[in-house]
Amino acid sequence: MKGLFGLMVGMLISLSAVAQSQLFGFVHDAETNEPLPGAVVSIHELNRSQLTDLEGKFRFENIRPATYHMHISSLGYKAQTLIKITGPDTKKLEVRLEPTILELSEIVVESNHYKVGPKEQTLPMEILDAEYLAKNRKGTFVNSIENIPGVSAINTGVGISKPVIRGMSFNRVIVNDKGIKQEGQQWGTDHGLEMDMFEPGRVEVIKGPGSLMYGSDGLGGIINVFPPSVPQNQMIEGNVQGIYKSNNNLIGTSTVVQGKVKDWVYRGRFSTQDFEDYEVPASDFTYNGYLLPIYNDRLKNTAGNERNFSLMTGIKKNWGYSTITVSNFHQKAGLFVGAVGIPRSFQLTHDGSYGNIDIPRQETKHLKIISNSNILVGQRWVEVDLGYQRNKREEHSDPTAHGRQIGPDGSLEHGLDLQTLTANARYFWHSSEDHMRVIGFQSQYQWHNWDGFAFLLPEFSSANLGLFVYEEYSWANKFTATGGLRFDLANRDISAYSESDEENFFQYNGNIDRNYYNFSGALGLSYYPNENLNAKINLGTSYRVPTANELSINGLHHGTFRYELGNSTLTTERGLQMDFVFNYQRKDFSFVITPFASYFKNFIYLSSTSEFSSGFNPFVPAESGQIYQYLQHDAIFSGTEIAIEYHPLEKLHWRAAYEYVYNYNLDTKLPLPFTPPGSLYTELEYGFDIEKGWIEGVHLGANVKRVFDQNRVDRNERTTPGYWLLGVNTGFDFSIGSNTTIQATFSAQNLLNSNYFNHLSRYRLLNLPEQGRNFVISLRIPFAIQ
Amino acid sequence: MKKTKVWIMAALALPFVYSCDDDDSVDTTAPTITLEDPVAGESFAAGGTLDVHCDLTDDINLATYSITVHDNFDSHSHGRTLANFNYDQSFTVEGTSAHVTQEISVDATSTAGPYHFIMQAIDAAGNATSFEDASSVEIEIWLTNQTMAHVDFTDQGGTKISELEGVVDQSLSIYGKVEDESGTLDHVLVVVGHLEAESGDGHSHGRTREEEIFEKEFEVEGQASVSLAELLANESIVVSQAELDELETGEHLYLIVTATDADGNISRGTIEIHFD
Repeated sequence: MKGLFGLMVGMLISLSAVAQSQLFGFVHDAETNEPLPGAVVSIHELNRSQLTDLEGKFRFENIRPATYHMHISSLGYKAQTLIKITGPDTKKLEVRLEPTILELSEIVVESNHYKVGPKEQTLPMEILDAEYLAKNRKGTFVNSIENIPGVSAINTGVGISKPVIRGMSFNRVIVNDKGIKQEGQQWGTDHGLEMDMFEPGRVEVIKGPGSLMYGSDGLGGIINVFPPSVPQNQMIEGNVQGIYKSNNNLIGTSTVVQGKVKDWVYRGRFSTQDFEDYEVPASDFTYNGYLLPIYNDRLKNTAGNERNFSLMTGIKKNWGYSTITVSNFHQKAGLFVGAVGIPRSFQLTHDGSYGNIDIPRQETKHLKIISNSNILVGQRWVEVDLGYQRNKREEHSDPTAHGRQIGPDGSLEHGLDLQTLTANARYFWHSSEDHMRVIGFQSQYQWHNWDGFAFLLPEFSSANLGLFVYEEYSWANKFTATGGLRFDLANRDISAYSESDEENFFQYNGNIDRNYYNFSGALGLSYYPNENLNAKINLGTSYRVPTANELSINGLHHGTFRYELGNSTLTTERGLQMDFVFNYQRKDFSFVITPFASYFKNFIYLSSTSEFSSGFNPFVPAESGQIYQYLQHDAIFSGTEIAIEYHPLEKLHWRAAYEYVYNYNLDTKLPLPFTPPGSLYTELEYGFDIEKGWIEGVHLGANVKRVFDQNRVDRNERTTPGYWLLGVNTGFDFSIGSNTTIQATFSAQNLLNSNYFNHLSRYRLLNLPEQGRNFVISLRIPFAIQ
Repeated sequence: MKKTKVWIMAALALPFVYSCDDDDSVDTTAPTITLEDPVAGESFAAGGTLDVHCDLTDDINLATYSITVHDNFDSHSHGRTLANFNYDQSFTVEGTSAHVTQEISVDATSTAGPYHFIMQAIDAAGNATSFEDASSVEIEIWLTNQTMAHVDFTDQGGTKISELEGVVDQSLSIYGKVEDESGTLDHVLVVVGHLEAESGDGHSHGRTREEEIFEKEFEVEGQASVSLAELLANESIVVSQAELDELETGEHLYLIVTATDADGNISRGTIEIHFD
């Protein structure tokens, strides 16, 4: 990997003696024609940005002839993207920014990986910046984006959550961190997304089929996570963030230091989280016909901690940039004592501490080494993302509770160790400013080992290779057509596993070595007759190669309370997905509706059998229950999101978002499991400035979430009643010194301490209510050394 | 603009086109289990049989049921020459209703003590009974054996009694003995509280130990016989009127003495405490 990196850098340096030019121009207000000072002008390909001067001017020197994507943004204006092909006679750029008071329009809305702008992108996309993420921070990265329409979270307690997009989760949502698909053990309900909630600087949520550009698994959607932009100034700067939550005494901190020395940039971050058992608005719960106690209303053994770091360094030149990031996520999280096996009253007595992490618990480490480069080859850009990641997941429980002796593995029930190598490349080819072609290559190789006293998933290796071409063509200043084709090859090589003792022999799975291939494609059209209106349609195919667990899992999985059985005959799951976007926008109002409808062939799901595991596997612990086997049949999905934002006054912000998903398994004639209920979220916020004193800006807000009943459930899945949640927040900025502004926010979540069940929670199966009232204080203190 | 309108209409209509109602004829009803034997709290001798009598019903077609017996010893049990009894079998069954019987042989070498007896059932469509809604049945039964200790309650003169007379706000007078005829004892747990599995449906209220009126464990390692009066000589067990008022209708207070012997056998003696 290092060799390849070196080769590329070398290749560029040898090319560096070519003609230079410059990119310059000015930015002004489209309504008043006044120059706009302080607007941010950045060149995407070079990771360089500037602020316009008092006359609204900017100038980038030492620019090579090539195609550049420029982003221009300023507070109070709609962000803009320009595609500029520079040459020796490049003219002055004139940028006119339209005023807006809609916060989301102020963020640069361009999909980073493919540089597809907001109008040209034919799938629905949401962009979230660091400010949004900080304001919605809840304890995990996934929970901070769950109020986006179409996005939900599957939670296990408060520290473990995984993303759901349009009712799809597990291996049907791709999370790309810096362009590398995150590979943990996504298939497990109680396996959270391994990501530091303080790290993302920008997040894109693409809803709908992402298979064309992102490969297998992108059925529900894509979450692209990006770090904050690299430092632009020759100084050492950074910030310290702290968060406290009253419900489980959570203390989180994150410290970041970054800087630039000539062309070299660097950043380091260290984050921590420590939390105790969380409190629920109940002193008992009903399970198995027993009324079981919750001591002092706190769920025993739900404490946890996190220690995460990331280190980045890189170089920025006029041929592009290259960065390398090493990061590690380390979480230790207790599971509610009753969550493994049938909860018993004697296990639930208080153990004297709310902060200890006993068994059952899980410990997850996720190491990533990611290199991102954007390199000018001739006059065109090549982006290369390389990655190595290692996910080590340990699930600890008491072996004697499973009818086994304490052996060499101690309390380690499942130790899963997955390593993944990834190499992706994209070549951008513009024939004109109206036409873009991307030729891409994606590859991934992974291998898995395991230990622990109980078998779940065998050793395996897996490989994927994909080639695609994507075209974008705009005409008449009101149409953009997009389309693409892709070919993929995949292999799953799974080792046989058996277990035996004096009396019994059991073959869990035989050797499985299978190849899969797939063709996919997409076509889209975007129509934008004027500044206010944008309508889009996208028709795409998506696919997903069966995962190793679907082919070969064989054991009791506590995440679902079931005995799960793989199926080695599964074939590729394919989807035909239709997506629509209708967007109407004015200066102070926006309305977006995004309906979708999809048909899936060979959709893979866990189907209940009429068999008990006791009659099947002689090594299974008692109470392992019913066998669920992976089967595949056709299914349909459909639904919509609606989002409205309105500012009756400039300082008064109102937003409402609705989401609904409908799905149907054409074989069982029942809905699919883990379908999020419909919900309505609304928030009202008032912000004002105080000119005197040390307090600068103040905001006050309230939000209400109404989640409807979920009565459409799969066989053996329980219905969940709806609920209301109320939250409030306030915050202000205050300055100390001339350059330091501290941001402080206070919020209350579940203010009414409502007792409710989350249909997607792992603990729903235990009839346990969700976390009660929570007061949150967070602070952000920046610093800089000149 | 006209074109746009058509798109919008199509887009809005699409989710509803698919929203066909679920087929009502899909079987999503799990079987029901009506367990006749064993009953909660029943005792069975090691080396003997445990007879199961049960009615199963399903609206369409039954498929499988399972019977599981495993110990319900908490972490207290240790050091043993015996084995905890384990039974986990599933059987096929057909039709919409069936009376099933099974004769389970209890190993002669089984450790005595409390066990869970669990029945679950699945129908032909895969609908299963569950613990979440208590449609699976779980009760506590006790296994006895030849070598376990015995608990006897007597009056001051040594005569066996069937009910303990108590006076509100006065210390209880407890007499009797815990004896292991074929070995030695390890520890004795004395509890005054309600008796598990007392309510009519065979399910306890699962109260925590903190809520017991009295609970204390006594280490009696190596002894073959202990007198309850001596064991409780320094204790004063007092039941107040307020504690009596907390009892639900039909609930009684019990003195529960649980003895664990050196082999890990757990045996239990219970006696109702009567207040005038």
